[in-house]
Amino acid sequence: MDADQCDGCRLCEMMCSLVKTGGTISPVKARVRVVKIETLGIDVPMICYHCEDPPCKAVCPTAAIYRSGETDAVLVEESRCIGCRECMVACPFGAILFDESKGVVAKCDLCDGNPACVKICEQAHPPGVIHYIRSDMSEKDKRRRAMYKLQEAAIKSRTASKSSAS
Amino acid sequence: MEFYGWSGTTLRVNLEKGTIKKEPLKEELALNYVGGRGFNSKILYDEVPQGIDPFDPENKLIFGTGPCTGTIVPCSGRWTVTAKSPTTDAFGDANAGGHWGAELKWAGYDVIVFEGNSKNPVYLFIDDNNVQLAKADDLWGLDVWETTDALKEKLGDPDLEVACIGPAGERLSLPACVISNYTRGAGKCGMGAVMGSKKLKAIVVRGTKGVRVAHPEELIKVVEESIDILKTEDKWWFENFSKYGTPIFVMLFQHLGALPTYNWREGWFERAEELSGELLYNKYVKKKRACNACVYHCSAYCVVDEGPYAGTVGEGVEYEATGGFGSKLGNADLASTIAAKTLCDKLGIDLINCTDTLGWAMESYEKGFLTKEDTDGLDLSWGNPDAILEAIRRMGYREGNLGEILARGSRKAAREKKGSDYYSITIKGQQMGLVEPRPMWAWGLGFATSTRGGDHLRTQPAPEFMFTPEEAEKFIGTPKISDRFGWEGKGRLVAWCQNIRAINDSLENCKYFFRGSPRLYVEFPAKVLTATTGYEWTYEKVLECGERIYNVEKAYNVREGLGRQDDYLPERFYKEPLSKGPFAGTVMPKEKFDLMLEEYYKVRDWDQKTGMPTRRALKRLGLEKIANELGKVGRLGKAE
Amino acid sequence: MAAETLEKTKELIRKEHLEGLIGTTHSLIMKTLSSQELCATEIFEKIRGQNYITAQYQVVRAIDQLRRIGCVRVAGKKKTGFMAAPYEPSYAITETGHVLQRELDRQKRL
Repeated sequence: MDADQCDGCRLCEMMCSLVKTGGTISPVKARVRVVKIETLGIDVPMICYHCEDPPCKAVCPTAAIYRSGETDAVLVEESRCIGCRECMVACPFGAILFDESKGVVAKCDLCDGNPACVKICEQAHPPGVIHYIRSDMSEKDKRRRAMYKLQEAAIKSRTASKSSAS
Repeated sequence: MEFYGWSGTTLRVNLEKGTIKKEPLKEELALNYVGGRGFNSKILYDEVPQGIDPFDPENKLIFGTGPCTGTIVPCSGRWTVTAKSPTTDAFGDANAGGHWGAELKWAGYDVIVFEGNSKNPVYLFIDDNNVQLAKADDLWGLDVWETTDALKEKLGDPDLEVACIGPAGERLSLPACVISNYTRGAGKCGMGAVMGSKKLKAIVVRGTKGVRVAHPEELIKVVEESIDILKTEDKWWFENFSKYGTPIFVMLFQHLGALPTYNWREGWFERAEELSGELLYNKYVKKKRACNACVYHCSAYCVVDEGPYAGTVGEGVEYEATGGFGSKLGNADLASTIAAKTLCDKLGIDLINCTDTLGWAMESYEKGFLTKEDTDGLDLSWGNPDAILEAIRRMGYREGNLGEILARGSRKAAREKKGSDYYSITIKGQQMGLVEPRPMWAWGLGFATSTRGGDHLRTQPAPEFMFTPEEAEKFIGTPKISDRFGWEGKGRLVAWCQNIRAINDSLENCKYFFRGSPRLYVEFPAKVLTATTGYEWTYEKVLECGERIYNVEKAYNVREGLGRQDDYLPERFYKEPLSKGPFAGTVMPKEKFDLMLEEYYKVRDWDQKTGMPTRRALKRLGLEKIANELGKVGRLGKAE
Repeated sequence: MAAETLEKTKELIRKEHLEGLIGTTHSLIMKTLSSQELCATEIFEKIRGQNYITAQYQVVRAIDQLRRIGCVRVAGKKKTGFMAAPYEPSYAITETGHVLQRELDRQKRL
């Protein structure tokens, strides 16, 4: 996730809520929330990190929170949730929300491996800000981008001379 | 009745009595006027009678959002504010982006109608169903940024959406505007002054109910398809506008000879490169930001790190700032234009009205119509950035002789300085958008026939220079509209663009989504409306609504006494040829303009002599009632 | 062979929603590219005033339409100082482009 490139458009929130509620667009029902400091031009999509050692899973009294086999996502089994909201207290990112209409909590479930927020973000303003990639590629990608910044001058001058030679 | 898309509720707030009512949305209004600007214009026509003073309690200040506002429809998060305007003394509205409009929809409201004037400063707080008027005495006097922060603090929520006025609006300065999200100005037509006259300081919103979508799968499909079309058929525009935003227009128009310079004397600035969008991007832009649901992130968040304006921070640094405070005033100092923009945002001043008023003031100063006594000693020579900043400050606070003069806006200020009105570049009292009309004839006709005075957004005939001649022939009817210097076909182009733009504004869609790709103009509105609202919309029906909205606004103006004589450009454009740059020698002869205007009236089916809508035109749009009213006061056009 | 190429191009025109939109402007552009590689600004300078063409952006979009139907290809970059970015792509006509251009001389509009 490219926090410093997020432009605050909120398409991720709106798409998430539309898909998860099946027809209503309302950011408060989204599992991704953009948090802003407008006067500093800062916008960050706050997501669930599907932690390796999830605090939400640890505190749940009914074992309603579990890890998916397929996507490795941390999920909520609605039928076991009693709405105590201990998981919301435990999550350091504020990533879990409470669904008043059902009396249970809700959270990001990675859309079964095809996250709607990623799709709209990447499509609306490529290359996008939220990405769904293999975890080993994530660090590789970051290293390459940091390298570009360090080698900016060299890359620029060599690209220019390459094209003027053609 | 339950709606999809529209929230289905109008808030009616009486500021004199302190009452708040909720009214259900009528299906007839929804299906004939679409939303946003369309709703506002119809309400204004029906409820604000002829002849009142814009600062009277009888004026109504109407805020509107569209059926797609607050949804994933690209670039649909805008809002419109409408009232009788103190700059045109007739129809007026203003439009802005940001995120305030979306929040209002999520709270459950399509429209807010403010009636009457409050005795003391108040603000409105909308928290879903809970709506309250509260005292704003401690906010009165604060600037826009201070007000926004104070309200978030006071009400304990940093995510509240705030639309407010600054010191300029409080003092009824005509260039005053309404601003949301710190920097998104609903600028035109002095709406900030009207809000100030009502002693309404701010509208604060928190919305958690959301917007219902009739066909979610279909909507997602249409949204993805339309983004693809934009990227394919408008590739250059999508890539460059995302990166540079509207500041790209400095060099874009410079190359077309259409960059207004020295108060509209010229269309080409010898130092334009120093104001370019590319320079802004490389030197000052730290981050790009977006309005609600936008695919472009065109807004530039800028920080000035060095030089005399070091420390300046600003967002939404647009072409009307870099060009408006730049070439229009003979100023090549780009950093100073950022400082000027931020100052306007804090004071709550519209860039267009401000820069044109300053342009009039500078040319009048050059020619001796304004003396040093008028300017309280300030040297208003061209291209003096410090004088520009000081003049803006005085305009906002109405300080001294100069402040009083500038607070009237260029047209009314010019009336007080005999002979200087030639240099007041306004149409129906409202200043124009920053495009020189002499080498852009459709833009000229569009400015002249806009229902809210000199304005590029009513028409925004981008097709004139962005459609290929083949597209022009297929979609407008003649390839001749691609000739920027010709009159033929322009009447047809302008009428078509105006009808489509009326729909863009009623959906509350940003017009930058509609640029060179004809398919988007034609297919997009009907498709998103159908998927969002569940009703069946077609291109023809949508176009008819656009034409209807335009005729209602025209009827309002005609009822206020406007006619053909008000549908002309300032004399400068007919008389003075451009003298610099690649298009030196270009002028728009009035006889040719008249040919365009007559073609336009013919297409619109309006009276050639008076410019007024005919009974036949109004009847075809279901506006027979309006035809009767206009007929009664002798303001109805005669059909040929 | 030319007939087959033309059929393929017409199919692409349909696929790209460009039916009835390929005409004189595109013919003029391809004629200009018949012996050299040029960028949009340079092409515009050569054909301005013909077929009502008065703005670079009309040419930019027309060239892009030709690229989408395989009649021109991006050949390189040129520094022109125009069009916001320092470099503009330069274009070359393709074999398909030659075929289409001859057909446009015959038919005027596709």
